[in-house]
Amino acid sequence: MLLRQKRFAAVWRATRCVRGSVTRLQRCAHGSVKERYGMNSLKIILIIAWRNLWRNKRRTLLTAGTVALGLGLLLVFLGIGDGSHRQMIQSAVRLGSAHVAAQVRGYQARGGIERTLSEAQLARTSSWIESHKPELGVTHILRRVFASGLASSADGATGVRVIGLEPDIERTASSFDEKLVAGKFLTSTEETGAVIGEGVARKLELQPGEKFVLMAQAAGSAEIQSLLLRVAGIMRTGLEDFDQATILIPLSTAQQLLRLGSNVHQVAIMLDELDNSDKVAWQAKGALPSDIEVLSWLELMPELRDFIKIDSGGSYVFNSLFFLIIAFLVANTLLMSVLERRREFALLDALGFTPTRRFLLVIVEASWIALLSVAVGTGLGYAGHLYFYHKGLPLDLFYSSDVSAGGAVIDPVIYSYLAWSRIALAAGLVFALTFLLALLPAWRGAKGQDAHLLGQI
Amino acid sequence: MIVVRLGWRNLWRNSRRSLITIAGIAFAFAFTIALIGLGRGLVVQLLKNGTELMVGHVQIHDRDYLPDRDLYETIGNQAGCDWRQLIFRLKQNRQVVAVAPRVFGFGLVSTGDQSAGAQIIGVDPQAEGELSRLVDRNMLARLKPGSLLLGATLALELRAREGDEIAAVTQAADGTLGNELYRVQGIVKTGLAYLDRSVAFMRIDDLQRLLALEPTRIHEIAVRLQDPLIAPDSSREISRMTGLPEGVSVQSWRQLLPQLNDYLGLTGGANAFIIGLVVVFVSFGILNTMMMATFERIREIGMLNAFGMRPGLVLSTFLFEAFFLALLGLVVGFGLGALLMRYLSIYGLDLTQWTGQMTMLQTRVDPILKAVWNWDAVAGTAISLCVSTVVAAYLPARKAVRVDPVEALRAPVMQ
Amino acid sequence: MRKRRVSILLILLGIVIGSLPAQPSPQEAKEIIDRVDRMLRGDSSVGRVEMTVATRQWKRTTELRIWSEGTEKVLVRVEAPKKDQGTATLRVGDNIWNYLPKIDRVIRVPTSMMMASWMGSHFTNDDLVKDSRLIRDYDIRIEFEGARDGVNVYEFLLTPRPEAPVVWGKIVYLIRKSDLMPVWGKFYGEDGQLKRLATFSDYQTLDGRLVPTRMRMTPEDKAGEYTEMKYRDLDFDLKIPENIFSLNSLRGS
Repeated sequence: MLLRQKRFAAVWRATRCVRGSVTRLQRCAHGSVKERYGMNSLKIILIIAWRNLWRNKRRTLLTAGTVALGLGLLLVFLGIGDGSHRQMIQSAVRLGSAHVAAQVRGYQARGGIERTLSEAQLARTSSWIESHKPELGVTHILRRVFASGLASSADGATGVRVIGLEPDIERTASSFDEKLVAGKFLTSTEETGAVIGEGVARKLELQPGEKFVLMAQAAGSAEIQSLLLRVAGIMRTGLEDFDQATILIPLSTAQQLLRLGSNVHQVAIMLDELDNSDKVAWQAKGALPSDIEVLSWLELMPELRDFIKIDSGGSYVFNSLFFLIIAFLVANTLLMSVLERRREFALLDALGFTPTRRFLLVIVEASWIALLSVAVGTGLGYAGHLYFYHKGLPLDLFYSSDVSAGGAVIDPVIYSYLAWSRIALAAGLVFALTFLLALLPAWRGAKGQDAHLLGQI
Repeated sequence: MIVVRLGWRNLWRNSRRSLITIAGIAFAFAFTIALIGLGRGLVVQLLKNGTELMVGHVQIHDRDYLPDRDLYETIGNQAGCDWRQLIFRLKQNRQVVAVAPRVFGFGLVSTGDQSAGAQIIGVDPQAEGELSRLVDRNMLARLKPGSLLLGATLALELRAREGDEIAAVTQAADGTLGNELYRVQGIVKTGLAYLDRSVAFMRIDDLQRLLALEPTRIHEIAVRLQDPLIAPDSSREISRMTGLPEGVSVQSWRQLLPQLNDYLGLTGGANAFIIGLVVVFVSFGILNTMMMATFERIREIGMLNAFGMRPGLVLSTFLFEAFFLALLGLVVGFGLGALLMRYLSIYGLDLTQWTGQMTMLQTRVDPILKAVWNWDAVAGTAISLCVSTVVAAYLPARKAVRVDPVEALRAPVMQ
Repeated sequence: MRKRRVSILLILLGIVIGSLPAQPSPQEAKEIIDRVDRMLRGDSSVGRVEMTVATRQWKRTTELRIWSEGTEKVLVRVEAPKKDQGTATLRVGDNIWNYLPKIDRVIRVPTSMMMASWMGSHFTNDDLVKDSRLIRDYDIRIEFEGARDGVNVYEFLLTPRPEAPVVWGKIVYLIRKSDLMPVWGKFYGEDGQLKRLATFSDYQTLDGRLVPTRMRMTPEDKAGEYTEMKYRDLDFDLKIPENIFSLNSLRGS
């Protein structure tokens, strides 16, 4: 015990003496340290490495600072990017689509009023979902009917896309009620209420409370059905195609109009976790008979999926380039110190550090600096993420009206979303980068026979 | 001027250090140029996709034509105009790549049993092929007199196939029921749902006949330019052309597609934000590098002081040195950046490995991101880097100059 | 689709009401309409009409021959001008077909085109189909009984029943008390604004009945535009051969 302490003390002194000029060193050295104390303990190396870092406070801070800031920015970029995509998906899903949907086989490709889920299929699907509700994370199960028809008022007529939905559930599951610019949302008691898109309201010159007639062809017949409806509310989603031609009516009303009985075209499932969509869809596909097709939002909204893919691709390129910039800047900073480090290691050599231990020291030092940088960087990045998570990035400075892309509306304020996997990936890559870069100059120093450098002043 | 020369020579006394710093600045600048270029490239790509499919960059209509697209509001009103001549003159402009005339009608298309409402667009196959990427050129070339192309979903609804006969019936301009038979020469998949569902293309003269419009009457002239970003200027230029028909309005995509305009504003803004952050970061990085470089030379400064050089001069020397470093770095960086940009603007970055199978717009849009020069941003970056280099040299140098020369000389080499 | 127009039935209604024998008028409006209803159901008619359509851009007159039976079947064929001769429309139940002689094709009109103008007039395809529901869809009462401009008239007020799929807020019909000739019909939106005006004139006796032979329909939102129907011949209660209302006959002869 005492010996250890003595060892430790000697090393402490020795490392302290490394600072300063050669003359001071000569005064410090009491013979060969190697002989007396033996530098075996890894712990000692760890400590020396750490202290090395702080002897060159400036160098360490500047290097670590660059990396940390770079990582922090990278995390912020990732958070904003992911956040914006998720927002787009969620907003699109909540405007008449779903995380996962079950339809009769062939409906997605060809549509058609007659392609409904039969009672049996509906029952089968519903019961399966109900029984697996908690494990799948299902928040809402919605039934829907789709049709096209003609809406006419005393002032005009226009073709419309009709969505029959269940008012009470959709009120919470979807965001239609948030998009109302006039009137109210559907209620299950008002069977003839309809929420119409802003464009439809304009073409037909309708206000909430006013009536219009909906004409559609019933399933399986040439008969044209007419129905009187009253405008309950007018919505503006920001998606032009949607607002120009969509109307929402209660499911039962739609079923009656189209003579569908209790059949529906789609069973839509909303999940609590967006990322589970694929998994749930896959599970459902396996569990349900093959005459029912199960689609995740990726298949329901391929345009959106592709838009996100391209955007992500672009981001990936961006971030890679940025990463390269970080790399170069750090390498640059470190290269500056090569000569200095060679001298340092020459000194250590003189003190009795074997090449092996010098290398070890180098590795540990590089690890320390990488760890430090990444820790600070992650902290910075996470802080940035938290800021944008709560307050959001207000992009509405840059544009005025509703903007949509890939069939989804882009929110004016983007909230950051940073998954741990992303953080781990970014931090990991930056750690590896910093570690490798830090190794290089030190390696050079540790390897060299640079005793002659000690002579310089 | 000694300071300047001294500054320059100091640079080369420790060439290793200087070269490292220059390299740092150069690479940082080069990569930032590439980033800026790609960012701008993304915006331009989106712009191209949004406009080159159908809309074009500039459009000419009769003032009252949009938004209702009233059949009667042809360019030049009832009398029409010599649109062929107009198109010829428009093409004289070097910026103009393609010009296409169009006529629009709405009517019923039917196989007899199956009928559906359709928007019928009359085009000049050659010109349309040059202008829009919506429909494949070869497909358009199939438009002989009496033939038509159907949108994919529309064809599905009509259960019509190539070679089938379609009757088109419209409300003609003279009050009669325009009706004619056409043969389906092709099915068009534009990728845009609302088009595939309702569009039919035919030759412009065929549609004029169907609609009982005189050959001089068309609804729209669409223009495609070399650079979509100059569209607003071009549209102004065109509107000032002599000999334009009366009552005409010339608009650029900014006015025709306000949503796209907003989206680009958004993307541009987001870009600016990100690039801004990157430039700040890069400047910070260079600051670090320079600070390290300068701190190393505290002894040098002490020596110069000891030699009797005035602090002010010492400082200036260092500043000039830094300035030259920055200049050299920027020049080299620009060269590298230009090389990168050359590659990226011609070949671009192939994003297909990320996008995989695209249903949207299929081969019309190659998901290849090509970089576009954004001179403003590049200039801004250069200035920022230059400033940060000089500032980075200034701060430590200033501190060092204050220090007692003896102390400075005493400063150990290893710091 | 800007044009709004009025049901053809109302023209026919005008004719039918006008063709009621000039007996002492029933007290209840409902009785009148009941009678009309019964008449309409069994009624068949063949007539020649001159239709003039005036829009801001053009004015055209065509000569039509119309066969109608009950409320479910109508066949209209263009006889002049030469250019349009042979163009025909057949309505059976909810379906409408058009025949175009130039291309020799029969085309079915889809739901999406129901509100499109029929033959370029201010009527829609839907109007051809809609008529049978007038009685079903409206509550009818006499709003005013007395003199207007020196003529004794009834003013009928037709209010849509709660669930009736009609776009009008109300329809007002002015009928001459003496001979039950319709004078005009006004179509209002729910907001109370007048949207369409139908005027009747040129009362003549055709096939033993007094009818308004001229009916003009004017859209209120398009100044200067109208569609006018002038009856040249009208025969009632004929035995119309069944095969008239078929796709074959649509084509020719």
